[in-house]
Amino acid sequence: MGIRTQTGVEPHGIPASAVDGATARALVPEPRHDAPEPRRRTALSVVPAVVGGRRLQFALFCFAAMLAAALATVLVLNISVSGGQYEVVKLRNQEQALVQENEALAQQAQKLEAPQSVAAKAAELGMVVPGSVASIDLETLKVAGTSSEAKAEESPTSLVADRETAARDTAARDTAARDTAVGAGASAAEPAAPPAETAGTAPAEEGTPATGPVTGTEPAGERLPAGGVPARIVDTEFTEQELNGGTIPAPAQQQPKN
Amino acid sequence: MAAPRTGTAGTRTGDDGARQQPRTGVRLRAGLAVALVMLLVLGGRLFFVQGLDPEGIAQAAVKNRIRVQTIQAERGQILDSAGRVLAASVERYDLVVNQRLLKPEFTRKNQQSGEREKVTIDQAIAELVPLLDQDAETLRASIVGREGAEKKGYSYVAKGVTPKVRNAALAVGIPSLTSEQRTERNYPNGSVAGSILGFMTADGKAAEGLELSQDAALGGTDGKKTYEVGADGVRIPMATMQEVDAVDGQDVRLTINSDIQWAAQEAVMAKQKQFNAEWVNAVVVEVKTGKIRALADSTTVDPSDPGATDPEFRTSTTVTQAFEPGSTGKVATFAAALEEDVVEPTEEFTVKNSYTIQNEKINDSLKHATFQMTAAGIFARSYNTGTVKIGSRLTNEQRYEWMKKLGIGERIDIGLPSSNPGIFTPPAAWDRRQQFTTMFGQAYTQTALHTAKVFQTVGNHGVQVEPSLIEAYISPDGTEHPVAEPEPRRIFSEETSEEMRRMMETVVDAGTGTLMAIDGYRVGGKSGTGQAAGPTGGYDGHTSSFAGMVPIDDPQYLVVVTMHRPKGNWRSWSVGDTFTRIMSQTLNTYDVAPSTTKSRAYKVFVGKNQKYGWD
Repeated sequence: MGIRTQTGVEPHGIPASAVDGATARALVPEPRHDAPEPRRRTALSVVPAVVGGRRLQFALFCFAAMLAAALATVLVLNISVSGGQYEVVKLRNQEQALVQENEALAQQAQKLEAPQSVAAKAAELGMVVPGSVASIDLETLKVAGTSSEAKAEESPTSLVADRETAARDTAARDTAARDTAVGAGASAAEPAAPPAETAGTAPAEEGTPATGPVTGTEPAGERLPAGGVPARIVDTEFTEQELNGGTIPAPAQQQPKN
Repeated sequence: MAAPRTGTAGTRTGDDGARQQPRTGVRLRAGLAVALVMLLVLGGRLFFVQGLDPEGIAQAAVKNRIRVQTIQAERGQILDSAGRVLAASVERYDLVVNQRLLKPEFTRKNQQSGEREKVTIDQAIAELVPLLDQDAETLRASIVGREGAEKKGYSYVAKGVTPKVRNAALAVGIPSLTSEQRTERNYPNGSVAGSILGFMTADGKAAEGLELSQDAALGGTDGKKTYEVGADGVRIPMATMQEVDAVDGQDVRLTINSDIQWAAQEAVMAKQKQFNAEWVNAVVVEVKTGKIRALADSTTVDPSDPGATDPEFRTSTTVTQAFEPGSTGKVATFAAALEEDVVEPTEEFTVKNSYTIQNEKINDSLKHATFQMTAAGIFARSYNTGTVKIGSRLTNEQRYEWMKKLGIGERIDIGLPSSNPGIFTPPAAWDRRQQFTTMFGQAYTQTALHTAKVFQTVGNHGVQVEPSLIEAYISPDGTEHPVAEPEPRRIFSEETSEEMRRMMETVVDAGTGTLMAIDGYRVGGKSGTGQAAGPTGGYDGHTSSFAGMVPIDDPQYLVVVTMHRPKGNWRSWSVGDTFTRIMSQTLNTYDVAPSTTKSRAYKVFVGKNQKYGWD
């Protein structure tokens, strides 16, 4: 950079070796003296300031700035990508938690809809196995079969479930059962009274009187207010008899009016 | 950039220059030396790394970063005909503690206040007691270790807990308590259909039932995920990554209806209790399609706890237990005789209490007066003597052929392992008495499913449809692949089937099956009490059964109830109520319309009087 070539300052007809110093001007050789020459010193001269220096500095600055910008971009990109990676991990965990919750709920639902659970719940609510059903052929208007009332003692058996509970001792450490109990308690908080409905049992052939309430021991239950508007019972405490072992009272059944 | 003119002087090796700035020179040399040494070290290391075994070292480095994760294929579900889940895989955790690392006290962050608090192990155990449903002593033994025992580095605290319990247990904060994930099979219906589903071993291998036979479809193929992680265990985003997707298993949908299955299990369990029988089972089949709606056993394995059940009952007895059918076997004899046109249902016979043919004396189970009765009456009252009279009009080979066509002695493959073909030898091997006893269902064995198959053929207008248990396979993407329906085969003529059905109706109207009547429906069937051979060869027990169809004019469903080795007096044995209970449930579930036509039962006795006693 600081070196200037001699091109363009070639001395007239003088051998190049006669010129000393990179920055020397073309010198006219002095006449030779016989006396030993004193130690020669390189003649210094003023070098004009490099005009291109500023441009060069600017280019360098640009280069450095670009480098810095590129590095910064890469850094930001890297941070954001690995930040995204952490985000992915977080979302994965969230997804997993939701999947687990969903799975737990699905299992609970499956357990509850298992036939033995339904039967046990039905028995708990005081439901009984229906009597035989008669049916009417709509074309001939004939009644086939004889209907009979359901008997109070005919509650569904639970032999399958009983055997399972007997066999399963410590295996049942699933908290699902407890959760279910909590859930059932919450849902029982606002039972809606069922609409008044007359007994659906078909009158049997040969003038058998229509059957009475389904369960013999069941009290008639609360009569709905006149006008048949279903009363919405909120915050009502049910008696043990009304609940009959269940969480909501059995629907009241009315005698058909003749 | 102008060169620093004064600075260059220092680097000159001139004597005066060195004298002027001696300290700088030394420092520079030392710095240079240090730099050189470091360069040498680096160079050496570079040579070591790149020159000697570059590939091996690069591999070791990658190996250090790389993680290979198996992506477990999800095992398919087993569903009932309505799509309700009978078996599904769920996520479960084993809780494991390192007793050696356990300290009597540890600190944790309080969940509510967010402050750190000190907790003793006893306190932590007390918190775990309600979560894991174990008593404190058991927990103490597994977490701390027994008094004086060597501390274990790996001790199970609880196995197979739900994710919820696991999270709660880990939140207690015992430092060396960790959890390990595993997949467990969950059977939400418990032991309902348990002997069909089978079960898995503790380490997740299929062991029995459909789980075993359908393992290839259910299992799927595991996948693999390869990626690189940084020191903190988080994936390096730009690094290599390979993923081979797992292929999840297919779901298997059965023909079973879990409601009917449950009702049938309840019914047979009640029957087993009543007579203290060895086992009672029931088969429910849709007559038109051969689809099995229930295979119920009085002792059913709970797939979540197979060890609690005898190995004998881990697969349904309806396919594993072969027995001598007794009088239900007369259906084959009568149907063959009708088809070969050697008898008419109304043909008259004189039926004595005992009948001797080729020096073999055939007795009826109950002493009775000599009756003038029809062929249908013999069938209805299930007299062996009359049956042999009719059966001996056919050759042994003829009867053997017909029974073979009905599937006796053949293995019935419905997808359950260890199904029993029964024993039915060809006529050449029959002894003198066997040729007659085979007419009324003795001296050969079959399973309850065989009985169902025979009745299905006779009931379905003479057309046999192989019984089936698997309805469809469902791919993970939801496409269904229904199992090809079995080819229907005509065995008997429509006329034979009709006559047989009327004869079966006679059984229920006026014969041995009066307890099997269902109000509003026309029922037809056949009862049977066969002698059961003991392990020593002699008969030492009985098998009481009833197979019936509804509505008998065009059967929709058939139910076979079999009771093996009941105790007490044989005259009190009846599976009638079990049959009606299961059949009623089936008719109800599938909305089968009640019969509006009148019974077409045959006359039992010749003449006007149809009311004779059994003596």
